[in-house]
Amino acid sequence: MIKIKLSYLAVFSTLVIVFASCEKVLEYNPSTEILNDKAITTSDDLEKAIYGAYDALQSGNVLGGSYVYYGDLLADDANVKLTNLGNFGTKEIYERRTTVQIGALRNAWTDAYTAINRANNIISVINNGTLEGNFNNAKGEAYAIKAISYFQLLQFFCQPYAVGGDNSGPGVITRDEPTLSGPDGLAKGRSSIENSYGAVVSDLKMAISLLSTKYYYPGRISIFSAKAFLARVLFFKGDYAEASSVASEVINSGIFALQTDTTKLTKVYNVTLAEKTNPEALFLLLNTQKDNSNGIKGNYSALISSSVNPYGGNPTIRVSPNVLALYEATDYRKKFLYAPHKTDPTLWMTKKYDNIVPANPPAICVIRLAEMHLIVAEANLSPGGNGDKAAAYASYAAIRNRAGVDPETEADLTLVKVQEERRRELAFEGDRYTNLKRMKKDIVRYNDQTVTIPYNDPSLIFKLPSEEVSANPLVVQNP
Amino acid sequence: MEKKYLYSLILMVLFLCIGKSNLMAQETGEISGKVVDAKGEGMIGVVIRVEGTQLGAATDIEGNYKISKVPAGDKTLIFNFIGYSQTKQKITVKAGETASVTPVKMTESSEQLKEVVVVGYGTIQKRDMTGSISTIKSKEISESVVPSFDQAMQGRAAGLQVTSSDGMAGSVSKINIRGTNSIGAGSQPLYVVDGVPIASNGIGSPGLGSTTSPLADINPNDIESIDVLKDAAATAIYGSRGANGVILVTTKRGKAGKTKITANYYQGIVSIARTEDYLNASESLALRDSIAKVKKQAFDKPTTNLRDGVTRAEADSFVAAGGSTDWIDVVSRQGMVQEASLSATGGNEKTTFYIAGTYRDENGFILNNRFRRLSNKINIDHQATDKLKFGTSITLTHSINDRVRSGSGGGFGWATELNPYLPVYKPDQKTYAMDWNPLWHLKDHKFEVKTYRTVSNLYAEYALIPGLTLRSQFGVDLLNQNEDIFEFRNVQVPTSASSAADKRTTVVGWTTTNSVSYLKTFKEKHNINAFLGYEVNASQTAGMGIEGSDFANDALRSPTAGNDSNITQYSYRNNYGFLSYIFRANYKYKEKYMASVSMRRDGSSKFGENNKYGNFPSIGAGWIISDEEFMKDVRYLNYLKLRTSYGLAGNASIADNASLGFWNSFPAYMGVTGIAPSTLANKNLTWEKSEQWDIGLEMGFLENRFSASVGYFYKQSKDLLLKQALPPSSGFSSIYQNVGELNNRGWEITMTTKNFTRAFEWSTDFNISFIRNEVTNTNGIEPDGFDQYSTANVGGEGRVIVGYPVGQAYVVKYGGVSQTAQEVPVYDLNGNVYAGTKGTVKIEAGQPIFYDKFGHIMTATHPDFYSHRTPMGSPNPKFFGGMTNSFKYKNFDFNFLLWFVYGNTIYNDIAKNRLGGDINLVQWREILDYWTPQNTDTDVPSLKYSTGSSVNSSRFLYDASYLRLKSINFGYNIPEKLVSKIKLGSARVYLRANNLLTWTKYPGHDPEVTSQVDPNSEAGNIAFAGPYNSTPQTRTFIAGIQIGF
Repeated sequence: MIKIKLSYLAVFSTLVIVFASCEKVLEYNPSTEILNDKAITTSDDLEKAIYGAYDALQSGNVLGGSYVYYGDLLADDANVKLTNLGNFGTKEIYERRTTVQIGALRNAWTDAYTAINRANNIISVINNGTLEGNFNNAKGEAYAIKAISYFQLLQFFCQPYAVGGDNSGPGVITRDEPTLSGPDGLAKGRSSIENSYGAVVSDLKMAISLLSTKYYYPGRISIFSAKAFLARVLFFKGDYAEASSVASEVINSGIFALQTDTTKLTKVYNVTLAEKTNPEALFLLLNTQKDNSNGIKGNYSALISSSVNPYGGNPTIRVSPNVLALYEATDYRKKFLYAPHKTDPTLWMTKKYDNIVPANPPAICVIRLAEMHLIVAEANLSPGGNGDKAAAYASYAAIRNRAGVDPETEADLTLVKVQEERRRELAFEGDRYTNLKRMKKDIVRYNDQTVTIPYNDPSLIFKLPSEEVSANPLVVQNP
Repeated sequence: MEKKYLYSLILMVLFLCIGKSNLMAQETGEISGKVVDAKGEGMIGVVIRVEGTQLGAATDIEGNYKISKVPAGDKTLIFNFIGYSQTKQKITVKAGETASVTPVKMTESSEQLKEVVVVGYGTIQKRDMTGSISTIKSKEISESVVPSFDQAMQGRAAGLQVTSSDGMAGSVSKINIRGTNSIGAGSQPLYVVDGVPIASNGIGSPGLGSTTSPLADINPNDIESIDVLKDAAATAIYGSRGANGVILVTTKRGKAGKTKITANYYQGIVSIARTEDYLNASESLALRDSIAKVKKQAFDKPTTNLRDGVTRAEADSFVAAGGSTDWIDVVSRQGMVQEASLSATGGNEKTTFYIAGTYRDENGFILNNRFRRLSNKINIDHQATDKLKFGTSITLTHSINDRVRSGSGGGFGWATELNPYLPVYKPDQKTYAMDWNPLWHLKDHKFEVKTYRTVSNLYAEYALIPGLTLRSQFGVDLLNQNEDIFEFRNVQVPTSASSAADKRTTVVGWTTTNSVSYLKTFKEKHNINAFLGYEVNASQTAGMGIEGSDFANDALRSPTAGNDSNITQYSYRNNYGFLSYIFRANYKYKEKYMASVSMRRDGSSKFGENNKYGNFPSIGAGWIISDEEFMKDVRYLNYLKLRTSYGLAGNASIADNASLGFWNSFPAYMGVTGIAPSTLANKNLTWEKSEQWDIGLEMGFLENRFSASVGYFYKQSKDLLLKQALPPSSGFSSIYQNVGELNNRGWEITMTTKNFTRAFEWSTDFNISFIRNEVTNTNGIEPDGFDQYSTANVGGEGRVIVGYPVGQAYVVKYGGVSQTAQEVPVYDLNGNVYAGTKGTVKIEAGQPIFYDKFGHIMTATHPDFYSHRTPMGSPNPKFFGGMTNSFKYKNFDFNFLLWFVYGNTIYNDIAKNRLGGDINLVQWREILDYWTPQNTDTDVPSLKYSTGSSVNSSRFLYDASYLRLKSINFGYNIPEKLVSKIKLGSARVYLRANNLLTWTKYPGHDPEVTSQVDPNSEAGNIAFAGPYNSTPQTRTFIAGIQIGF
């Protein structure tokens, strides 16, 4: 009898236990992910989210070097090793047939917007005010990350800014809010070029107003790197007076100096996390191998880890003889930054990305002091600039002196000379292609000398990825 | 009426609390008697009830029964026993006396229609079913020699397509019940063992070849029956998990009576079922030279490296000495399988038991592949009182699966592609000729998968009042899988390092079901069977692994002993839960009109916040026409039943976290870890829905010597989970949405004939299914949006295209070989001829030609070649089925099963390489049939064009129809006279074989193959008909003996 009662008890207790604990089974307990609403609840979480945003910014397809490479495929500094170009990728870019679905361009577009969305998330969380404390510097970094990403897209997916001309053509899609749900409400059209540049300038100015004036670390965006980017954007936009004054602020900050030790000249362009001392770096991408292995070294440097033939690599981008001819024989830049290939001495390579440290990809210098000097020099001499030729000469002479070449005199200085100096100084750093378009100069490439490509030829502009066009009915594809 | 029952219910609850007390004060008497079968022998376990009371009893071992405290008066006794017709007997009980009843003879309900079918949460007589369920009996399962019951179901049930994806023991099979039901979610059925849903997805390291199936942990010998639930009336009771069909496995339970002990042992050999027709070594070398000549390329120099250090000179001298390596033979062996089992079943009227233990050891045909399984089964049922019954089912399994690398994981996969002119060893016969070769890969690698599995449950039933039973069941499914992987360094390569991995997966699932069922007949013609239940099911999967390499000493085996900088590790946890309310009612009027309704309400952790719960109703009806008056005069037709059903079931085979939005963490920047949003939440995400309509006609002729059923179903699936693309400018690429639609429809026909029924018995079971699968909505996603391999959108494997089945091959149409030199126009994608020189192309005689999407001839050099792909072939058969013929004469019995699949195609990407695409790999003999001006009747292009890189086209889309002698069984029961002399109950010897013969035109290894993807995934739905280097099926012969004590 007792036995039976116990059985009943067992049945009933099972029932009771089960009814009491059942609702819990309807919950999912994540272990390797963070639920959205638990992502940023402390200032430490916020800091991690900022590193997350830098992660997107350092992608090879945003600041990590792909655009440097694409620019050289499309401009006239490089002698391209055509057999290295891959189908459905760089080959189409080189041949300007970007109507084809190319993974590289899809990533260029996608990764930039990933950075923008991550930045927007940070701005939105700080604006919500749920975190205690002052997060102005973090917010400033986020605004700058957003602006830099827009600007990279603008230079490759849009027609160049027409100084004093019509800028109503399609620019980028500006996103001011983080994406928190979908798929509804995510379609958005492209802003005009004018408004897109406007957004970049206002975001950078917002960043400058928020970033701390005391803080500088080359791997993170500081008030100086934000100003440097602002100077670059204003310069491309033709706001020469303002560009010059912002660039001067960076020059005169007293923190940066041109590298005069010629033995360390190659380290201006890339250093590693371990040796981050680069006096002229305004913003360095200090990525480690685990973060991101950018491909820039492989595309430019002949230096390989081989004991037999350490300079026997076969990068795609070799130096065009036309570029080599631009340098005077004594120019340090020719002496220290270019070298002939070991097995074929007629081919010259740039050493700007040679700085190989095992297990560390070279950290790329994204923006450096020399560019500020070149902006001041050219902006001051350009129509609409402040006309301060003395300041222009001072900057020009600084660059020339560092390169070990005669700076001549202020009286001899012309706009063309500054422009030539810019090409010599910034060769293979991702400047030439966008700069040609800024100067409205048509392009004749070394490997394709019979063809003149108008600077605003639609074929130069990358097509938006098909995913954007098909999923965003409001967007306009490039012609 | 209702009130009365409510009162008795309350009364019973009270009764339950205070225990049994003697409420019976009136005058009572006793009844006693005996129940016998047709032979006059006592029957045990027959349930007897006194009509209109809750009094009853069951017969004992002799068939005797006694019911006491029966109120005096005229009573009717009702006798019930499964498989026998219900019998009634009148008796008069006098107070204080024992009324003896004349022995009651129960007759077997010979009709198979009286069979009991297991349905979700209960059983029902086959005759009363309104749904569509196929039952596979234990004999059919245990007669198979395959290690896993899912494979044993092949050919046994209409509408059920079983495809073994890999010939290695313990691998996952692809099972579809009435077609592929999903695109982006799982399409495999729900498996329920004795009421406990079990883990069934493949587990393990897919990178090494294939995964292991948790279904291989269930010993087929312990299975009493498998019921395949197909239509909505059957599956809707499983709610959000019923849409892909449900497979109910019922294990064997004890039978009261003399304890029956059975021992069984068999042993046999395992070999490869089919191989391909390759060129031999001298032919391969000659082909190389012919190609160089035709293409005006440089001939091989003696120093030319043919593969991994083997030079042409070495190959020449190997071949000159008569050498030719059959690489598959090198890595294969004659495998061996043996299985020993011992079972005991018995018990008395109160307690019955079934206990069994089985050990299986299968050495597969691939070197070092071995599968061992030790399984135990304990089922106990105990009738504590007239009202209370409880019991347990316990399955304990331990298996050790020495898997080997296969497919694209190397090992056997490599062996299938090496040229025969490559020697295995250098002339010293010790060192491998190639450092990296399959023999090394199979011999020096350990890939041991150990599993520990428990599928068990406890239940208690309480008969509250006659007809009303409370039942509570608690079940667990515990699975622990440890993968111990060690790859010894290649001693011939000084720089190579050993690597080791230790991966562990634990699945813990539990289910509790509490229910009330009610069975009642009113006024002898209204029959009600109702069920109300509450079920909670939860499962957690946890996995972790460590991988390491580069050890300081060869004796070190643990991954953590490796070089610090090479150690990688992971861990994860997933969980899901379901909370369900279940209702079903069956109503039968006059034993010939049936109606059923069911409803399940499911909540799940898998569903979005806004869609936590869903309702899954079904209705069904049946009409036994043959029982109508107007059918009385119809001769020959003894049984005719029409049934139909309609209902809704769901598919919850979606990722556990699919509805949630997440941030994740990763190495971000400057060596610091960062976090960022990774997935967008979809709060509306929900189960996929399948509405199904089913109609069937069941017939029996000539006292069921011939019986058949014909059924038609239409299953409309919607809200299918698809990754909807988002504009990348949003920062996200896609979000899961319930947007897709497809349908499956088709006919199922089964027939059973008893051709001879006298001394020589011959019966035939035949089933055939015609199922059509059609995608009706992909929400605008292009075919290449479903590319599973990122093959730059040019692979020939499956796509999803509106108007075609899921997994449709999408290729350029091959036009064969151009017989003459010609010049043809080149058309662009709009059908216009290109301007200028691009507008024409010259074609040489012997060059392969293709058709563009407008039907114009084009060549492989067309600038938009792959944009001219069209849907071709079919991933699914037009029909498939099985036929079993069974013969019996005196003590001999014989049966064989033929399984056929007709009308499907396989895109064999490997064929491209085997037919000239890469002549550094082994070639099929077919390549020698290349076009020449003399040999024009061929599809193989001239040597100039058939070698080198070849393009994907319908040339490699093969008809994969086949007819297979799946199993054959020959048995002899040693006559009882002889057996009893050696004091045994029974003895039987038998021979069995499987995959003995295959008829097919498919040139690959095996037409019964799928690509090495998880069948319960998007890739499994879409890319299954594009296999790559798969492992063929095994052929097994065994001889065995079974002894009963």
